[in-house]
Amino acid sequence: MGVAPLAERRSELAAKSDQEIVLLAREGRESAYRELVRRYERPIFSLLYRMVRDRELAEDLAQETFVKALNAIESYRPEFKFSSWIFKIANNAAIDHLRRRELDTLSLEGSPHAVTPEAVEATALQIGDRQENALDIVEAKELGGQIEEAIGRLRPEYRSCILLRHVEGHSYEEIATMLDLPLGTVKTYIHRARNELRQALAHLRQ
Amino acid sequence: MTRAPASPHLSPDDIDAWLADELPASLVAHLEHCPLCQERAYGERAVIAELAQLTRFAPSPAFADGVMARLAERRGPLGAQTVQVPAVQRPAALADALAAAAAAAGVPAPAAPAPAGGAPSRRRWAGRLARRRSLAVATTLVVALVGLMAGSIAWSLAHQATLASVGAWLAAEGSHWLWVGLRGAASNLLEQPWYGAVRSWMATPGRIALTAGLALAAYLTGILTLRRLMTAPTPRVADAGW
Repeated sequence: MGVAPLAERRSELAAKSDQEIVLLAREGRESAYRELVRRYERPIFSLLYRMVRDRELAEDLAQETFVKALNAIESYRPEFKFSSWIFKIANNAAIDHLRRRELDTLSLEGSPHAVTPEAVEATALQIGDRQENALDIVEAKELGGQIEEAIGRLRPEYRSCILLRHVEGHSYEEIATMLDLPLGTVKTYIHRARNELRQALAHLRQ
Repeated sequence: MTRAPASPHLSPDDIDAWLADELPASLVAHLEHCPLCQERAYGERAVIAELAQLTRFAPSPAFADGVMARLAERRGPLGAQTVQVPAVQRPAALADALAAAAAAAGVPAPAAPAPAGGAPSRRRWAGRLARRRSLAVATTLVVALVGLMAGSIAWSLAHQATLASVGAWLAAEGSHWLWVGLRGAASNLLEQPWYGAVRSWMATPGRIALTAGLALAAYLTGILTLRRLMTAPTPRVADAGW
């Protein structure tokens, strides 16, 4: 019949570049769509999970990210990296969510009007303040490491920049394009984020 | 992000350069003898190393299926072009399926069949068929609607007396029930224990005006409070750039 086994087809797709997969996806190949999801589901989900710190919500936002990207695959411009494009959509989804859920942001970083670290701490709601269910316990375990907690205390814009730079390995220029921010602003955010993380984790190195 | 002229210490850009092994020798020499810069540079290096080792979390196993299901909700199923069906058989299979669907819907097939091979051609063919079906459905709806309207007008012209009597009956019944409702509401109001007090308070035009003014002020205050409560908070995060 000439029907290639599914595994063989998958390995063929796995060997192709993102741009080639996108071309196949534009032709309506479901396998190409699935390959793009397979390639980016972990990094996108991880970024969103660390941004919103809620597994279920992160999964919902990640699915929405892929749906938006794949639904608009015709408008994707191949001169840009596909990864930059999809990370941009994911970051926008996270920032949009955090913007709408200002109280959630407050719970992580305290009042925006707090001018001293003590005031920030006093106005911040701790994760342990709420009743925990089984999922919360899983999340607390996953995001409970010292560095994860320190990342969670960063401002959202610092958080997305530092994760894109040092977890996902994007360049400053790519991040500036993704987030529609000036290059200098991106550098400042990343340097401040690194500085805050260094101070938060200083006791571990002593 | 440049070092201040007065500061002898490494700037964040210098630390970036050091991390990339591109720091000028003079600044490397400074770093070797400056405890403050060492603390910052070594500390940031340790942070970056920790960040690089962070786990990549996995979504649930049904994640991809969920994406495909949501995508299908938005743009229709992609199933016609899955890997399970060999590409060489696809045009005929797809054409047969579409022709069968079109025949079932009573829509004639397009004059030009799908050219052999090529997903874009297949999609164009399917698109044309979908457009024809949409056009047929829309035409049917318009014809049905116009027919119903024409029939309604014709019947009305032929039965004007019936319509007039029905209209008169509806008007009489409506005014009767409106009057009954008004009387009921009025008698209910008169029986309220506070009615007497309110009536004696409203005895003069000045008091009526004062009450109306207070009510208006309370209403405006409520509107302003609601508007303030519903104002979106000032964004404190970077522009998402949608």
